[in-house]
Amino acid sequence: MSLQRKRWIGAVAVLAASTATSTAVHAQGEMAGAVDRKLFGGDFSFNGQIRVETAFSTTGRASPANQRGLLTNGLALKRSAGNPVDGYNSTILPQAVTSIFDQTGLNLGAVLGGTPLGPTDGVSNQSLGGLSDTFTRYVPDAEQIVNYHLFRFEATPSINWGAWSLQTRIRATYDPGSLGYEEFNFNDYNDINRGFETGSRDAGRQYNGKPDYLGYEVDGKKDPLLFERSGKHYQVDLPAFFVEWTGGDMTVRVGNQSVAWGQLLFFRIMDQANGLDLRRHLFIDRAIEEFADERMSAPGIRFTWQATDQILVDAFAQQFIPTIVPNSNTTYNIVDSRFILHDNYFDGDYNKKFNFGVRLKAEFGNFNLQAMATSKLNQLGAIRWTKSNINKKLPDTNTLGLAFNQYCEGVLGSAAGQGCGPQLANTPFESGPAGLFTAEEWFDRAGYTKLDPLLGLANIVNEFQPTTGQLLTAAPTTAQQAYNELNAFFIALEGAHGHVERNYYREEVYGIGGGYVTEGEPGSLLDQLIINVEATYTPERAFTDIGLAQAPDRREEYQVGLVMEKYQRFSQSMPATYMVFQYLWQKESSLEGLLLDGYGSKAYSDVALQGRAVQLTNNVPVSSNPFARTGKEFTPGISEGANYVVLAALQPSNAYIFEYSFAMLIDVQGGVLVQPAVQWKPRGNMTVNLFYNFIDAEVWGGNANNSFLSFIDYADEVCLRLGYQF
Amino acid sequence: MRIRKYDFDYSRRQFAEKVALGLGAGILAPTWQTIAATGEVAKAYPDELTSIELQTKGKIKPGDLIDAKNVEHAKHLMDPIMYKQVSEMGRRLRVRAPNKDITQFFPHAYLEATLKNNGKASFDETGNVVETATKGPWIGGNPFPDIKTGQEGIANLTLSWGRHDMSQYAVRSYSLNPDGSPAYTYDLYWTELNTTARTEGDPVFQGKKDMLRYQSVFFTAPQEQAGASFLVPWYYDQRKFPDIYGYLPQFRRVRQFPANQRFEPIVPGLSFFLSDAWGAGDPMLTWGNTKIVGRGPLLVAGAGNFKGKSNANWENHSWHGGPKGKTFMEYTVELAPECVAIESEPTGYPRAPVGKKKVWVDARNGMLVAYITFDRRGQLWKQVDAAFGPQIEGDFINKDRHGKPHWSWTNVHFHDIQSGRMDLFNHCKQIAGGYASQYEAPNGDEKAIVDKFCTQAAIARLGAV
Repeated sequence: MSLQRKRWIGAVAVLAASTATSTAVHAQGEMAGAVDRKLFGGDFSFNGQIRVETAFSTTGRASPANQRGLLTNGLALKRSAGNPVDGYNSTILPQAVTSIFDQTGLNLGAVLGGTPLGPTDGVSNQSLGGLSDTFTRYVPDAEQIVNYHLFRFEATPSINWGAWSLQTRIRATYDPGSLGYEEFNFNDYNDINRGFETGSRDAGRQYNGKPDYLGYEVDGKKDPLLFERSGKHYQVDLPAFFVEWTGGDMTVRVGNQSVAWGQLLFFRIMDQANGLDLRRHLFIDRAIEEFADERMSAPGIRFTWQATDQILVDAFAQQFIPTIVPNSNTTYNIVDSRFILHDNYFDGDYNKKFNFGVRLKAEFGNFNLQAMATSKLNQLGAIRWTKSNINKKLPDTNTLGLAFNQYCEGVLGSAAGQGCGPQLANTPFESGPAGLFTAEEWFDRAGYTKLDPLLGLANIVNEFQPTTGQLLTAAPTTAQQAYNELNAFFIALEGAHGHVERNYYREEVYGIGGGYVTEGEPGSLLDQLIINVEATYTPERAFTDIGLAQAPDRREEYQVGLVMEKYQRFSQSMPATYMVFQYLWQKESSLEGLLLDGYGSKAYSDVALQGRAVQLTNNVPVSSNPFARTGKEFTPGISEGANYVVLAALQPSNAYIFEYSFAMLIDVQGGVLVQPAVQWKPRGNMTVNLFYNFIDAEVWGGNANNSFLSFIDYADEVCLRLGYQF
Repeated sequence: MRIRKYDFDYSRRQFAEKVALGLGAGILAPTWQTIAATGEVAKAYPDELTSIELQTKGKIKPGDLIDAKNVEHAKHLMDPIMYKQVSEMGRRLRVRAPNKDITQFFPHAYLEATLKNNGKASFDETGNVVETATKGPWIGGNPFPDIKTGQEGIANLTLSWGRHDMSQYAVRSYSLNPDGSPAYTYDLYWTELNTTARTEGDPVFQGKKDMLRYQSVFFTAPQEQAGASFLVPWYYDQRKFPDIYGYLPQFRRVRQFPANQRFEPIVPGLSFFLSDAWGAGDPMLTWGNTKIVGRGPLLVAGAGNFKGKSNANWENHSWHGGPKGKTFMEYTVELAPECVAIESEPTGYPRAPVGKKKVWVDARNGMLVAYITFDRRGQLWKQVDAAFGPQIEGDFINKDRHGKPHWSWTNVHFHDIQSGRMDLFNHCKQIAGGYASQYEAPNGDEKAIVDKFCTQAAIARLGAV
């Protein structure tokens, strides 16, 4: 047992013992309070809660990034392999490919010119030689009833020794799976195309069997976070676990902790210190709670110095911990499940890096000022193509695959029986079941992921040489070239899975902010209006390249945000209504951190082949121009920055027994997220939350790919949370 | 017992005359001069104002319980909500003989300061209380021990809430639903530290003469509210709204709130507003039309309510009354010969739900003894019913550094009679987290209290993790 694991178990044991002790303390009847006790010579106190959280889908749709939500499931699409000889400008005839391979000295003509192999799963209408066919994706669609269910336990034991204290928050969550989920199981497809290799590899838990609902596993490390242990159905972590020392006007915290800065809610301008944990309910919890359950913690040290009554200095140094995105095929997954995301947090030694920051905040009556500087690894990181390292040859069950395998063995020097496995291992692709099958999917997915479909393919070709050249690929310049080329390889692969990796880059972020509280006619709307403006400048932020190139796209980034808050009494019988207006402008990237250049992509479909322009995603237009190139035709991007608006209001009832709230996030590029909610506290130890998430990525015409909400357009849902505190 | 020389009407006429003419307290002699000279108050009043038997025509005497059966005889000695509670809701009050020892009406240092500084206060042209000689901030104790105007009465309450230079109250609130069932239990820690109007040591804390006090409150339980905290530094100028900074657990950071946000519940289920604190929770010049509307005897909860011996955590668990028998804490009350009724309106808060408040202060010590509010329609709304006194129970005495009993509030009922909600505030020895009540800074280090509880860094640190 490693020392780290022993420490972990020890910490949990102490907490468990504390919990047991304190539970007895609390069980003193309905009029009892949380009486504290002595523990280790200090004042021990303890609060806790259990909560059941559920979200019921009102659309029945699964995430389009998930296998069972893919828009091509059950859809018959024609494919015709492109011809490498003319740069994939045309589709290939059997005679042509025979000619190509004949030039190599291999006698493949007989194979390709004869009766095709197969058909394999999903394939029909094969042409002579199997170079064109119709493919119907064989994964069934999901009619999802339940988007989310979770059982949560949280406790905050603390021990206080005067100037010293130990502050702890333990969180344990359990998602049993099933119970209304329509789950995808990789194991159900083991008998197709020799099964899925990645699932048995390093960090393959989310690609093996049923979805990994709560785990965070990265390449090279099963549990990469010091204060978290997690698996497919559970997560236990310590969002807070630190020793605190207070001396005079200085406070020092050492241990696992989070740091939140800034006045804006939800829009993270000054709030740069920690990433987000999006595994559980993405970011669509009760809006008024901001990122209460999402903000990550990190081990480190924080100094807070109240220099004067007016001036506060705050500084931190923390281990770098990235933003955690939902795992493949979980409800709120946003990474297409046919792409394997390699998180290099551990293998890249990013876990040994530190983020630093300092902030000054000054209050002068109605005015406040703040300034901030951080040096950090961006928590989102940048994603790029990476070698699959999966040595698995093309299936010999289709003629093109068989031909390529023989070519690789005969010409490229692969060992007998390995076919093109060694070559594919040096490209970002892996052959497996339930992968990409058609060029339409490629274009559609690129747009969904806010990438350029042609650049993405070109970068594979150009940046994985010489292998890609040996495999007769070519960097496309037009839509039709890419279309034909992709279909050729998808036919041969019988399901393509792409491999991408996530690396993290340092950046410096400088921020300033100012606020003012207005004084108007007492009781008027302009009285006591709290206005804050915040802005950041990042000289060199490393973004994911919109073609997933190896080098991140480094840009200057600016963020400017405004928040106006107002409490106003509209009724004598009800407490004040809280209203907030927020505005955010970002120069280069969208709210989730992807480059705006990749926004607004159209799809592409070969009308001549399909007989129609196949539209997979509603409200994403399809180009049928075969000569369309990168740039305006496919990825026009969003110029002059992205704009977002939040409108929210909260109306409590008398004594705050009920809280009615309404929040709307407007992606000015075309999407809205609307959340009406009600909270009921019938008793102090019970809280009931009911809220509805309505999401539409395409409200006022245009292209759904203009909005970051297109990632979760399907997730309209009714959410219910039942909490009990003790 | 002295010979009864004066009938009831005599006292009533005298009180009416004092109200009309703006005179000070006392029927037979000026109350405060009598106190200053003799250390007791009885000589200032005729017998019928110091005897519950005479006030009730012999129907109620010390040691009795006042309940629905006999409350009619004491109806004129209580605020209208208390009368309703006793007559209709099963509340009971235990009567004790009046306390004659004036030292039990004040914290020791505050009494000394009141005596020493008597006559030195006045209002300046802005309406703020100043030391007349210097025009500087008030120098401690009651600025107006002999209350002649409503502003004087409110000033006594406002300038030093807890009558200590520094107080920290460990509070446990049991809040009841309208059906009388206990529904919300909150632990909160309330800190107030005066920078001016101080009684001991440096008259101005750290040179902050433009401030009146630091005040903060944070919750330590239950889980959802633990770490919710508010910091409210007060200006000395009572025309200015204090800033409000709040740390809300879900946001994990300090945010600013509007300064006029003083008539809202601060957590679910609580009827208490910041505006309710001490009957003078807002800067006094943000209210207006303040005037004395009456004087007369009243039953007040003073000495005898502290539970330092009978309850390990000083809590009053003598619950009774209401639909579930848990709506009220039993108070021990005594007859106060003269209380001053003051009305005031929230003129600086045009949208406040409160239309008017009425407070009664004890003429002997200027302390709040009853407080009710009316809504904008003029309907009775809320009662703040506090008990104050020395921390003595039997042979248990919680002593200050002078060896004198500590003096503070012991319990408060916050009763919203329109909704039926009730908060039972207990001034505890200690609450979750080891936060203990105290009225002197350990080792006299008041700066440490500010650093630990009264700055933005402090409330962020005390907040949820």
